[in-house]
Amino acid sequence: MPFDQKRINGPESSLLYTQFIDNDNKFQGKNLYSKGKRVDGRERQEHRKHAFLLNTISKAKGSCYIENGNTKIICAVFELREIPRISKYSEKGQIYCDFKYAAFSRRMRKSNDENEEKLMSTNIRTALESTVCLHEFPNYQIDLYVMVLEDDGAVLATAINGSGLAFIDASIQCYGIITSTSASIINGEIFIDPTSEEERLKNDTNKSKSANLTLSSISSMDQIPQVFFHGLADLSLIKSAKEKILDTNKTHVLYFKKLLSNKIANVRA
Amino acid sequence: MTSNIKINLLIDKPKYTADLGDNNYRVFTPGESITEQKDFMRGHGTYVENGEIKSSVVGVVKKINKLISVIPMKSKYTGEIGDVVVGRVTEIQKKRWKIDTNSRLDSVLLISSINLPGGELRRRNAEDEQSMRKLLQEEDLLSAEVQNVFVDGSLSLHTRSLKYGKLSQGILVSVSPSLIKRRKTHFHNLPCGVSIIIGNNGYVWVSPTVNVELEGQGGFTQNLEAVSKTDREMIVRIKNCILALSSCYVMIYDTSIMLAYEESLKYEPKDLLNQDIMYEVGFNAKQRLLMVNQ
Repeated sequence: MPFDQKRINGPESSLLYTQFIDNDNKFQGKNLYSKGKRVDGRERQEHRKHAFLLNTISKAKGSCYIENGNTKIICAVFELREIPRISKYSEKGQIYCDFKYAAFSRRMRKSNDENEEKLMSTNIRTALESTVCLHEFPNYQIDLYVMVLEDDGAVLATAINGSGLAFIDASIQCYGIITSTSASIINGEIFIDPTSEEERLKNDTNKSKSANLTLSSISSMDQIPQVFFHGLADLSLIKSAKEKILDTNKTHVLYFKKLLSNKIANVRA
Repeated sequence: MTSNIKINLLIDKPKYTADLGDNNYRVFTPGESITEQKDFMRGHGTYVENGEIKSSVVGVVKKINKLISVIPMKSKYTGEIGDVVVGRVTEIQKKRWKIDTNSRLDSVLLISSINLPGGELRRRNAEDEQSMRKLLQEEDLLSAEVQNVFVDGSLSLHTRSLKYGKLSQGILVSVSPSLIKRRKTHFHNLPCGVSIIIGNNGYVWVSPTVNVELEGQGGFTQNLEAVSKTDREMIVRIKNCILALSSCYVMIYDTSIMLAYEESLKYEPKDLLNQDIMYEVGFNAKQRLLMVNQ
């Protein structure tokens, strides 16, 4: 019986209801995707509604609360401090990222949560190391804490967006605004910004898990600072997914820019 | 005892929109190109790429002759020589105190930069080092002036005047350093019976006006007499006015504080903590300031 150490499991003879859920690509009897739209009414390429709030944590140097559909993530950046346990002088600064899932963020607490958190931290750090002007604070380290309050898909992409905005809110020098989007490749079709149900789908033909691609881009440069790919997919599909993601990132950059400058323009009047 | 709790939904949160200013500053975001590099030098908040100067923070461009820099909204206090600051003692080290002044690094107050009580002029000896704690302890507040700026950006303070020294009774208000206007004097006695010390570092000290200048007040004796209720109400009112001004991003100096005070008279001091009322007081003060300045 699936036994979760960190949850209350009920009497010994009880069974988890999830054992009885039909694991085929159906949710509440509906097909999770069909020739038409997705379950939540979106088109294949449509991104969910998202919003962000800056300076939500007053004690942090910079912070951002970001929502993407039901995915809710909070990121906070703290004051610079000297890199601990280092003997040589380091010419570039460092970023320390601590990524955590809240205990209530997902339906089932996975057994490899810790490894997954470490993997996410590394990804976010890689993405931000290319965005932040590290040469501006040699021998210093910036702490970034990311906490996922609710996981409904596209967590890595939303976390990278939030972290980039938290750095901008902290007035730390950056080369540009980093935006990130996630895509799922299921049965030869590309779904932009998947929900957690869509991320868990399996391919119809060989019942292998679908592929998931997360890509970030920096506004001012033609560079891709971070890629995360998981699963099996055709190379041509991956290429076209990449193009679609880069386009989505470009539109998001315009939206972020407008919001950031409006916020400051209101303040400076 | 009943307390007043006001709960707002996020969608109903009072929004502050400054529709007064006609000068719309052009705000740059990281990665946006400001100009070509040809004749300009780049300052803080910028970087050079492909021969163009681009912004690296979100802020407003400041052009001084040939120097282009971008000033971000949130910045720590960077001191200049001659600034008046209000600070809090964090540490006592050998022959100096470490003071928190809302800057990146703690400021330093050397034992040779203070006035000894009684106004003596002599070399500091070992006994003085041992009795540092009698003068200034951890968590004490003081006002001082910036004497020197070190290479790493930390400040060296001094209290070599009778007007500087340990602060005794009052309220410390913390605002953003970018809202403090540089003036000739930072010590004001407001007509309502309140004295304020506006530190350039964003810390403002509000205290009751002391009528008689005590003798031998070398700055380290504290006046701990009881403060009357009327005085205390006045102090709290001024403090809430300063917070209202800061929430509406109005520059803080004696004129703006007095205008905000006049605008706030129709409310109780505790009502001034209400978000809507704060915005109203700040907005009205701003309007009157514009009229005064025209």
